[in-house]
Amino acid sequence: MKIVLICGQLIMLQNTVWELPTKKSAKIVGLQNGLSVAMSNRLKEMGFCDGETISCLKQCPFNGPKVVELGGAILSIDKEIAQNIKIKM
Amino acid sequence: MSSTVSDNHKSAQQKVVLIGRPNSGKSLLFNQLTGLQQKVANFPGVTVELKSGKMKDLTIVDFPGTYSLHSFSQDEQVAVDAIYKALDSDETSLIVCVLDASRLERSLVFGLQIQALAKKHNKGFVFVINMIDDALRFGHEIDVQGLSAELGSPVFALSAKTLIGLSEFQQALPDLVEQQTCTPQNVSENHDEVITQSRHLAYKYGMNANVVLKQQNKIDQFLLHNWLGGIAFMAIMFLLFQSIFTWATPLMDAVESGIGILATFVSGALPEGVINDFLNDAIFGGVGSFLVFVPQIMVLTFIIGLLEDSGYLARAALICHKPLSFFGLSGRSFIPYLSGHACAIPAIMAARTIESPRKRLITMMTIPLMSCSARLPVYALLIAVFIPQTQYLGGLVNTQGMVFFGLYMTGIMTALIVSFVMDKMHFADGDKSEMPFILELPSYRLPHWKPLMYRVFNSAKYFIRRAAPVIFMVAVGIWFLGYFPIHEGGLENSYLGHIGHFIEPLFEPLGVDWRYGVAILMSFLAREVFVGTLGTLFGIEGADENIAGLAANIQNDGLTFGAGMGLLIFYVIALQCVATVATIKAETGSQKIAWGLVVGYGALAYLMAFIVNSIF
Repeated sequence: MKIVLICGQLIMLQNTVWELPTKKSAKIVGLQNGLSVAMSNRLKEMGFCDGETISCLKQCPFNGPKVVELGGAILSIDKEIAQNIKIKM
Repeated sequence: MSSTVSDNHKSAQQKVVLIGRPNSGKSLLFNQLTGLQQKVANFPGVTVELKSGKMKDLTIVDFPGTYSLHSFSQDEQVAVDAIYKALDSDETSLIVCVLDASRLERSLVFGLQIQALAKKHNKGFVFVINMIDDALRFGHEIDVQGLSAELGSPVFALSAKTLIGLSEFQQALPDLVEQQTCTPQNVSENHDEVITQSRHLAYKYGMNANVVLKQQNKIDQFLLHNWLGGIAFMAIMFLLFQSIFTWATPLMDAVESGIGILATFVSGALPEGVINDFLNDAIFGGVGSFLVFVPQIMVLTFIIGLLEDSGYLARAALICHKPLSFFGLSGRSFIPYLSGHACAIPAIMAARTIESPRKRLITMMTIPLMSCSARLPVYALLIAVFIPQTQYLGGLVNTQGMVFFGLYMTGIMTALIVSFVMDKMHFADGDKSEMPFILELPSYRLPHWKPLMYRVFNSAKYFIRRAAPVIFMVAVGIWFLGYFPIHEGGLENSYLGHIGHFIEPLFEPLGVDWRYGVAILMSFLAREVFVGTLGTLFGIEGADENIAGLAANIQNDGLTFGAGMGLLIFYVIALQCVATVATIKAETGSQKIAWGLVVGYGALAYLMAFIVNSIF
């Protein structure tokens, strides 16, 4: 977890899947609040649920999609999605 | 419980509906049950239409694979709507939900949603755990009875591929349809509860996923490697286009000599005269010269099918995502683009899988630039005329194949540039609903040869059926106009000659004479008509020449190299297909876009052909 000082205020930035390094695993702790209902439902159906273990298998070059393993499936997600999934490393 | 599907329906058609996630092997199960060899989709969006077949007196309906009842892209919405419709129908008596043994948790989320719906609509319901051979291979046996008790519905474990457990399921099906006892008891409709329950069940009954994934990861380490994966991707694509030429050649030669023998036989048996001339020029020369290219279409379909069924296409989409985003497209645009090389029509429909409406539109508008199989006859003919056949590396690479590859690349590059320009011009920017990219990478599988071969033959049949009537009519029309009024001045003084000379100024800048002009104009109906028209025209001109040797005829006729290359570029870019225009109109709902593309690409093609002709 990073703590950043912006305009004199302390803001805590939660880690997201986007920051998960290759070959590392983490537990999902939730989805960002700003997501649409359709999007968060879909992510849950695909297995992005609280407490699930997610591992990063690959990060495509030039900020390309991440390949992650989750609940017995291999998924590829781009930055926009990865940044919306909060994890605890 | 009173059943809505009661005794009076017994004699009527009773429908069994197959529902499941993509890649659950549902289509193969359908094929095995009905004996109908249909296409097995290994990627979302490939199964768009519903397929049905008979098993004894039951009708089995195969539904498109869906991830969830909460649709996300347009093709999912189509599938979800169809599911609701089937549930409302009295004819539907049993819902079969297909689960993937190696991915029980994921498939159960959808399965439980469907189960809840089936209960609501009072329909019979049964789970089938497919691909049990995958689980058995890793020494995992699923406790079917325990799972069935917890789910409150019958569960069958089988493999549609190795046929384990299939006959048991087939025998049980009629009884399951008759009795309504399999209507599920305790189901939850709450979204989060469904997810928790499927997780619990998968943990208890499913197999350890790691074993399956280990093997998959090993292959991915190579095929998704930063630069090795890129090289592999390029190599696969290069071989794909090479093989269209090299593998198909013997088959094409066989078709060509077959037509030649038939033509000689028929014209020998008939007395000389108008009928003989008609058969020779219009039928064998016009229609026959396009049949020669059917083997190439079959080879292309075979390789795309092979890549799709093996699970590689999803990887290719992933590899392409970042490069394609640069041009304003998505990784999902890759599959429509690739299948656009077989035919633009299914490709435009496959673009429905692209979640972002804007990227979908740009993809659809640029698909016609992919060199579809209708261009193959034109390419092959002109390449045969101008490019000598030289082989390198023991036949793996040859010059004609290289030029083919270059033409395909030109089409792809043009499409990317057009996409880029549209993206930068903020085309359709009003559609702000950008959807992010999420893609499941299916396990690698050995393709099943039966559905693949069925698909290959189907593509040939479809191509012939779609193109043959147009080509036949054009060939007959052209022949009539070119043959009459009878002779004296020959082709030059025929009706067609007069029309041709009238339009000749339009095509002069491209370095071609009126005969090619007529062929180009006619091919705005469908590109392959170009070859048929030229075949008919040259057939009328040289009465004693070998009919199948159109390439030799053009060579002797002295078409310049520059004009030939210009024609090739023209055919790479121009949108000449009535069916594609109709499909774009239907999918975008805009007449303006569809005809705008015809005019825009037509003008660009003309300009490029003019430039090429001037340079060489």
